[in-house]
Amino acid sequence: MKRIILALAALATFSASAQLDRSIRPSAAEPRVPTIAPYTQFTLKNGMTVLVVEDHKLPRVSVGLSMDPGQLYEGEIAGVSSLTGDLLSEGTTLRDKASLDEAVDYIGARLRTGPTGVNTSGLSKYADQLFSIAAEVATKPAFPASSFDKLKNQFISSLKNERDNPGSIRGNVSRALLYGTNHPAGELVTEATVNNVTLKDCQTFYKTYWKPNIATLVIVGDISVDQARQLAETHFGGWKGKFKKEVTYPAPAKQANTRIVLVNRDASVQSSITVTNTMHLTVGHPDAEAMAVMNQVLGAGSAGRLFQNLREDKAYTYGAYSSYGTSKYTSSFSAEAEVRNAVTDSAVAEFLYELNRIRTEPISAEDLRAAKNNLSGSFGRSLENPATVARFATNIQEYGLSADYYNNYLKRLEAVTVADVQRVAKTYIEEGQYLIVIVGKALDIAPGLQRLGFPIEYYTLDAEPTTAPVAKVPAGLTAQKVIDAAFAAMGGREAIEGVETIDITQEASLMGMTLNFHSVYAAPNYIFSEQKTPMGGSVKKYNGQKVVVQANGQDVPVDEATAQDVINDSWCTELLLSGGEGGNAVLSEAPATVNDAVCYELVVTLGSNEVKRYYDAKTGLCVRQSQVAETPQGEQVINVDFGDYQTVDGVKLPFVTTVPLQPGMNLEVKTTKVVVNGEVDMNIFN
Amino acid sequence: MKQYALLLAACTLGYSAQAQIAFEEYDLENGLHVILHQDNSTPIVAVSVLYHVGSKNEETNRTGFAHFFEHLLFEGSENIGRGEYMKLIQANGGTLNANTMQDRTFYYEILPSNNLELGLWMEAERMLHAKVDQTGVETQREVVKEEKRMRVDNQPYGSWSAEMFKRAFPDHPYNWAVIGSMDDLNAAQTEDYVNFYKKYYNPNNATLSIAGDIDPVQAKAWIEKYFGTIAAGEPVVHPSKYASALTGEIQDTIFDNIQIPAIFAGYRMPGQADKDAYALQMLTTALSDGPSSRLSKRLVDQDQSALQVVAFPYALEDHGIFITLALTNGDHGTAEVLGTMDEEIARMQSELLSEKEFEKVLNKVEADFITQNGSVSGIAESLANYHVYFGDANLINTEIERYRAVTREDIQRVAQTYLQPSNRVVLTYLPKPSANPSVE
Repeated sequence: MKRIILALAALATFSASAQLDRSIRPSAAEPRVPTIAPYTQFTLKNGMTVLVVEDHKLPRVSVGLSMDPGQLYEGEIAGVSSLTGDLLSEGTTLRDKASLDEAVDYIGARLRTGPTGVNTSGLSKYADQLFSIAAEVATKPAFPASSFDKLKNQFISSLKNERDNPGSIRGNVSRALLYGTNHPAGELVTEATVNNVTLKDCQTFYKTYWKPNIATLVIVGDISVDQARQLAETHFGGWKGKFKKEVTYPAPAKQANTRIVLVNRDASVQSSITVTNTMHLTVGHPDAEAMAVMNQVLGAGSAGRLFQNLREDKAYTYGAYSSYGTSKYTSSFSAEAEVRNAVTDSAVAEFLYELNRIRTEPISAEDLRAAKNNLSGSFGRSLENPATVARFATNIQEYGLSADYYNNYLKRLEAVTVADVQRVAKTYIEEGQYLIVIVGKALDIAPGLQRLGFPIEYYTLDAEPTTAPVAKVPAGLTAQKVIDAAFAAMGGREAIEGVETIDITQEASLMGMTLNFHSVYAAPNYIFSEQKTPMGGSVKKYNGQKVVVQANGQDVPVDEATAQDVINDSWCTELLLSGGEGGNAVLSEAPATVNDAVCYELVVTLGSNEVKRYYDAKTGLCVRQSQVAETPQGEQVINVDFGDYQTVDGVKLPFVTTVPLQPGMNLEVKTTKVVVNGEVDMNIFN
Repeated sequence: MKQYALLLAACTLGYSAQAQIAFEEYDLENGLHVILHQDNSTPIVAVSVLYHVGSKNEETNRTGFAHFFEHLLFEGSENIGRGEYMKLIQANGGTLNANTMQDRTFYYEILPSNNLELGLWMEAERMLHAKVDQTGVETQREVVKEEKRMRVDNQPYGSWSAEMFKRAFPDHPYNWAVIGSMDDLNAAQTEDYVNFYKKYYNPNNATLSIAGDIDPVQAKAWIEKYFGTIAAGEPVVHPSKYASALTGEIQDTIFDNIQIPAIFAGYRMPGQADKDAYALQMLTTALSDGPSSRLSKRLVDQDQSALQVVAFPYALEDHGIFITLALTNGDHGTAEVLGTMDEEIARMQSELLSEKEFEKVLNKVEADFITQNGSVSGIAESLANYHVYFGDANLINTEIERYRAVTREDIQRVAQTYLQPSNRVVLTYLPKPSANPSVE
């Protein structure tokens, strides 16, 4: 049973409300079908298309001119189109920028210019000025050299800004890898390419693409068709020129296999994820409505499966969505979310699960109904904005759709079936060929992502392949600081230096046998260590002068290396060593990971042996000692792990020690009793 | 010259009469304020409820609670199961959302107009008997943390408003950010939810604003049916508006994950309904609205020391902050940019705007005002805001008169009164010194 936190019905109602049964959900009244406002289309003698949508609700009008030259590849001078667009509002041959700005601002209007378009909007009483400004900017730009340098610097500054925005980084890298940087849809604008652009390049760009025969003028708002026609003729009728050759580019190659591309951003506290593939769906394609329904069910909004799963169920993210492009050219499908670092791999797994599910399982009739209602509602809402009709008109022209294409939209939507939805999911979502781009803190998220089983490639912000980032320990950290931290974590140097003796009893279990250990340590460096097993026992001891090793009660010869090993025995060396041990310890530059914990590595030379010790970066405690040993299988790294630290008489000691016996087989030794500073019979060390 | 002046005068006169937003408003017996605007041109309707509670009503050890609570009120109700709220609206062709600010929490749906009754029923469910279980609390707490990571922690300059308000309001609840403290959210107890709901989610603390394709008679009947029997709560007591004045310039540097240094200077200003707020709004228009505005022209075009410069009044109910901010360009430093902004502000203080510039500002303000009511959802929200914050919903039609009453002298006076260094917080955003990967 879920605990109810808030349920205040009884407190908050009048008794009279018993009359109203609130469990009855209101049903919908008779719907009113939204109507699409008419528009008028005509062509000027110079070939420019004009679309007019009258809407007199508010006394405002917008005038938008746009060219359609097809896809543009800018190559070495990528950024030329943006700069050209910006330059257009920097003054005309009739007036400089300051006068132009003044003219626009004085009537409370807005002017926006872009690579292949210009838009003015404002009060309809200024319709004449809005047309004349748009035409002046579009047909008589001045291209002042002084502005060019200014815009270039600003452009470079803004590119810099994008380099810290995870969303921009993800967008750039996924475009570059989906379409290829040698393709119009995938090329990247960089500081270098912007620096290559000259003023002349911008003028050439303008002269090539700003031509009336590929221009559409869209007029929306409080204006009559007659007035719009007259103003269009007056201001654009004399514009001459012809754009001839549209360059076509081959469709980009598909991904061969799903791959993960990781773009490292150290500062990230969230991973920005996209799972994407290229696709091609033109406006007006027979699959258009089924695709819209599919995407609605999958992830268009908060009712979508992605949002419901990744946010409402798992709480991985603030929002998870899917989207796709409809275009003349290759576009893409993508599913996206920003999730906290720790759940990055899980979030990718959920994306893959939902994408697979929509492809392989038919959606329910209820889902189908809800998605259709959602889409028809959204269609109805969009018609409140007169710009929507203008967009419909533009699409009808651009894609050669029938005049009643949008009037029949709801009918086509209604006809979509469950099978259609599954078919388009299979067609446009390409399982096994995903590009998964993740912008995030690679050191944190890469280990988890590796478990997903896809190749992980590292890329720079500029979509160039790179190597995995190498972690470094924090600047200023030293071996001595690591050791100091370990002492502090174990109870403080004073407490540890106050340890005169320790008596430890341990046991372990091996293939049904119980092994018993008893170790006694006394300051300064006396050691007694006894093992008892059903197979026999052994004893090692050191009294500060001599190492003795016994097996089954018999002394065995001790060579120098063995003697050193006994003296170095285990963590207690660490414990009982004081101050100077930092002297020969060297802190490794890279942190290490031990049992999923980030650790600092110290390399310590003990006599002729080199030992590595690992200190948990968070707790400060020593969690592993590692050493290369000669074995019958050759040289092997022997890792002894320390865990389950518990405090005994003010000193923190590991209660579990894990010792490797052979590859894949560890012995877990558990402490059952510890006595600190108890009475010790010093004879046992002899 | 004379002719020119005449032409200008013509420009500020005789705007075609703006379409009036007709509406009616009334109170239910339980104190719920209802505003209705009928517009049948598109078959959609916006249903909104504004609760007059925001982050300023939070306890100091429960910051972020109002916003967190907004998330929880999508969980369900006595008659709407967990997770159903969002789906139900959308499966009926609607869209929905909500937002929380310092002074209010605002919920809305935009529905096909034949589903008005559904929207009313659902908002009444939310007001009367919302239901939240432990799973919902745990889930939404994590979701809110992700929201904060996305909007603040992982966003260049994302912390600026929190950093600004923290310093500008040491002893007023605007001190903390709406998103609040995650520790506070972790500490929330069952009684916090119950008390908050009981205290603030009452009809007498709410405004139901509806705009769109409605039959007012039918709408009123449904409103009475679903909201009429919800009991009134205790009158809400808002925290004291008192905020001590800043006693000197506060300067700080924030190191962020950014590439471009930026400067944020915020001056304390009065609340949005204050007469001076209008003059300050016009002052920001003169400073940064449009490419011919003073700061844009000077810093972006002329000196080219800034990539972007913005001034705007962050005006809230009790008080506000007059924000000026700039992203530096190229090698120009933040000190230089701040100095130039100060020069431009000093000019505002020492000289009146010219007649022409003043007309330009008024034209801009009028154009924005006249063209603002383009959607029924925007109209519903504006009506509710005007009613709650200004006590007059009809300002949707008449507020422009308040701007027209502002004189050039007023603009100069507010520049002198409020835009003083001793009344401001200056935050310098600089790139974090080292971006080397490190673990800790």
